[in-house]
Amino acid sequence: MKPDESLFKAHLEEAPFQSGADSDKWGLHGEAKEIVWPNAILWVAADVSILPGARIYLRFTVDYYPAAAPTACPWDIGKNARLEDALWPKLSGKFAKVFRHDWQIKNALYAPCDRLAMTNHEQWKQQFPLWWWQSRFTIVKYLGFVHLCLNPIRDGN
Amino acid sequence: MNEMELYIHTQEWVEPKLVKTSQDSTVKQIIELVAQHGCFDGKVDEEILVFIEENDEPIGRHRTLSECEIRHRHHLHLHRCRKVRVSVFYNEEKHESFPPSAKVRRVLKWAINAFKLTPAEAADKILVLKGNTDQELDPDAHIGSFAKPHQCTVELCLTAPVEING
Repeated sequence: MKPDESLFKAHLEEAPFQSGADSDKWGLHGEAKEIVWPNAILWVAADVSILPGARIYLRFTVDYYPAAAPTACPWDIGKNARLEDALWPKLSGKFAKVFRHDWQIKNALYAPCDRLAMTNHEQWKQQFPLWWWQSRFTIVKYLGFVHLCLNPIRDGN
Repeated sequence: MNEMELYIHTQEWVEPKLVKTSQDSTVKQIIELVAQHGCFDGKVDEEILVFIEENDEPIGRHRTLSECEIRHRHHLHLHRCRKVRVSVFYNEEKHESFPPSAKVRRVLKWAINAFKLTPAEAADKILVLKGNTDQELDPDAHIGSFAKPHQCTVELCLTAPVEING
């Protein structure tokens, strides 16, 4: 097993990922031994007002992880194919464009921690230092960002 | 059979760490175990308190985990402060005290109420450390993990990222 695959799988076993999995924030679809490197399908919980199914599946490509940022595409696990445009989450506010599918790259999130979206968006490094991918990050950074987008806290109750 | 894992949060461990223990362990033994892992400079003293996540009061150190109804993969917070005074800046400054084991999400909800934000205003707000705005506070992290060493205070800013665009 190469270092990128070994590190990725190790991070899935560590407390930050496991803690989120235990609280149903995210999880691995299937088992780690079923991962066909460099792709892994993970899910992230979503507010039902945004996604009636309450979760989105993302097919990650994570070669050269974590030196290189991951990239992820919303995934239809039934068809084992890219999720149809009409089924992508529709967000409002500052994160409205994260799930856009009207730009040149159709199979990645428009996010400052996504490898494909980071290309040609160098300005995001200054604008989004919280999420601009760094090699010290783990997959939890990407999952946490998606969870934040899909689970807005709208009031103090 | 009664082995279990606990998520432990401390000032040193902003991201929790999984620690193996047993239901028969006492709270004091958990403190010793965490100190052995390098927290609190490796020293155990009477000031160290143990909180169950989101509980306002610490638990007695001679009680066992099972007596305290602490189960597999529950979250505990070990801290020297009984309360943490949180200051949040958003046009003005407001304060509130929380137990170290309070989640950042609870502080965020308090701040949304305190500053009387509308749902639309609240939806994309995050908390960052004052003076280190590059670090978003994970909503599930414990506020005590961000207290300054040997102080029971945390200074935060309520902010919203710019729109992702471009």
